[in-house]
Amino acid sequence: MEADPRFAGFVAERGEALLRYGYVLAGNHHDAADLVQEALLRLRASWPRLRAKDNPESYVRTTMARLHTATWRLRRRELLAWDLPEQGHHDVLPDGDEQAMWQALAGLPRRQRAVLVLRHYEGLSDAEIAKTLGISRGTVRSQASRGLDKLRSAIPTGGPGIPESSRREYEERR
Amino acid sequence: MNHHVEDTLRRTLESAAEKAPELPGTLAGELDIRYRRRRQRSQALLAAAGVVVVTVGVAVGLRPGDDGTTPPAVHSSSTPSASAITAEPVEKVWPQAVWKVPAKAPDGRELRPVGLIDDRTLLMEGWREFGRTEALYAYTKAGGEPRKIVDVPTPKGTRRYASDFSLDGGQVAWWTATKHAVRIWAAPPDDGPARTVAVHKIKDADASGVDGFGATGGNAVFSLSTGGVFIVPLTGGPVTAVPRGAGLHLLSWPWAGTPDRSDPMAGPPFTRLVNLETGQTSTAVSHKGERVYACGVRSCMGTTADGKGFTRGRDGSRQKEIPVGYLIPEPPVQSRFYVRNLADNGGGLGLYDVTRGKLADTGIRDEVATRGEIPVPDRTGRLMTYRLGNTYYVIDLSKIP
Repeated sequence: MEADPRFAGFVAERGEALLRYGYVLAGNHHDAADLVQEALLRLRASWPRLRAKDNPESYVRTTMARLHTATWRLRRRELLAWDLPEQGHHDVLPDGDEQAMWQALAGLPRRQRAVLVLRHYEGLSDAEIAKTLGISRGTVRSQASRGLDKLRSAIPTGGPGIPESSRREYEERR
Repeated sequence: MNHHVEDTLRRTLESAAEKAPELPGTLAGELDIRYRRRRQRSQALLAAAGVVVVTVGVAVGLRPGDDGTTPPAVHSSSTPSASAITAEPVEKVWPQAVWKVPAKAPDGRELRPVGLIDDRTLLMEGWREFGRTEALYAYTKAGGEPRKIVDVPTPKGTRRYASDFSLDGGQVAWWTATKHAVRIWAAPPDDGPARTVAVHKIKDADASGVDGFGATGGNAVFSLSTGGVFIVPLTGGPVTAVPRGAGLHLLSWPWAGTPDRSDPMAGPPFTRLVNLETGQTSTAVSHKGERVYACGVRSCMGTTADGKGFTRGRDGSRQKEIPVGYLIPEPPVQSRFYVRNLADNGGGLGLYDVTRGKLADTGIRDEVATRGEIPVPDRTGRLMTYRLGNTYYVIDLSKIP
């Protein structure tokens, strides 16, 4: 069986954007790469059944969001099909207040983070987020509001300080 | 205040995204290789269990549900509409037949049922890395914890991990393969250890591996994917070719035949069979316009020209309509038990006794079924097993009157 050239074309064209999305969703390079790989493998499996009106990119993005919030993924990780660049022990972080925000994000539960990423990075409406994650609109709203509350308390208006608790939680998650 | 946080958040996500690592240009090719490997692995699992997924009119072939997000197209047929039957949980419908068994060993290994050692003892295989069995366990119906009974070795250079655990009297047998040799193993299923029964040279494990295996009458019997049936005593000795078995694939001793399961273009598997002991042959009847999916020793199943599922004897007799969905050919169910949807629009999977018209709720919901968790038979056809969370449901079909 030959590789499907259309699939290869899609990966070449959209792979980078998907990895960027995976990175803001997961918060670290390894999980981001794992999400992209798993979602693309599933797309590959469904490729022959995709219809003309189906949008492969939205299929992959939805899969990634769902995978990220699904607990079973934690137990089923496959080796990556490619090597990640050497980063030492830490992923490269943004600077200044963005660094504080990035670290505070790492302290959020996966679903809260996913809701915020879908809303503020993907620009989805609450209805679209609800559909993507398979949760109710009310849950979207409450998760977003709880997530924002946590971020707000972790980031004082004055500057990039991070409360000790968030920092500890962040270190543990790494 | 709110805006401040949301602005920072948006800005952070955008700049963080720019720090994502680059993807290699070869990724699509790598993914293709993995996709195929994964598919082969799940197909091998389902083929071993003899599960075929069929939709009305359209075959989707062996569908392990490896692509989790797309639900399998499973529809009920016109055998009594599922919605018209109320299904109670399997353990209520057949309390005498259902065991609930831990899906994890005390040492943390994942477990999967293999078959019954005796009426009260279940043999399970255990692994840490998917498909790479490291040990065998016994679990008694009385309860308690699964007990490790045999360590399963993986010799250096192993390409195919221990497969096809088969029980025969006081022995359990299986095989492994390196690139150029198949190794047959056996152990008493109470207290090990595993011993090598025989080593059989092959050309290339990827191209000519084992495609049929069983332990019977004190022998291990196996066939190669290139064709040919071989036999060796479990006590050890030379591997010999079975005289009538040249070019054939083992279905279930003494029956071997063609085509094998690996080539969907060659037609439904095992439409032609030979009894290797007596020389008796059997060719399955097939009518124009219908589709036969699989044949067992006694029966075949398929869909008629108008898309209705059927099972019937190999000679064409005793044709019965069956629900279309996940079809599992004999030997497991003796053309009696079928996995089908609970309702016409899905709603999870039930086990349907076509003889008594009873439908039992397995507890498997659509989302779980989509991931490939459906009831599968053991090698003897006596058990059907499936996993829900940390529990295996084991249904001993022989206890259903």
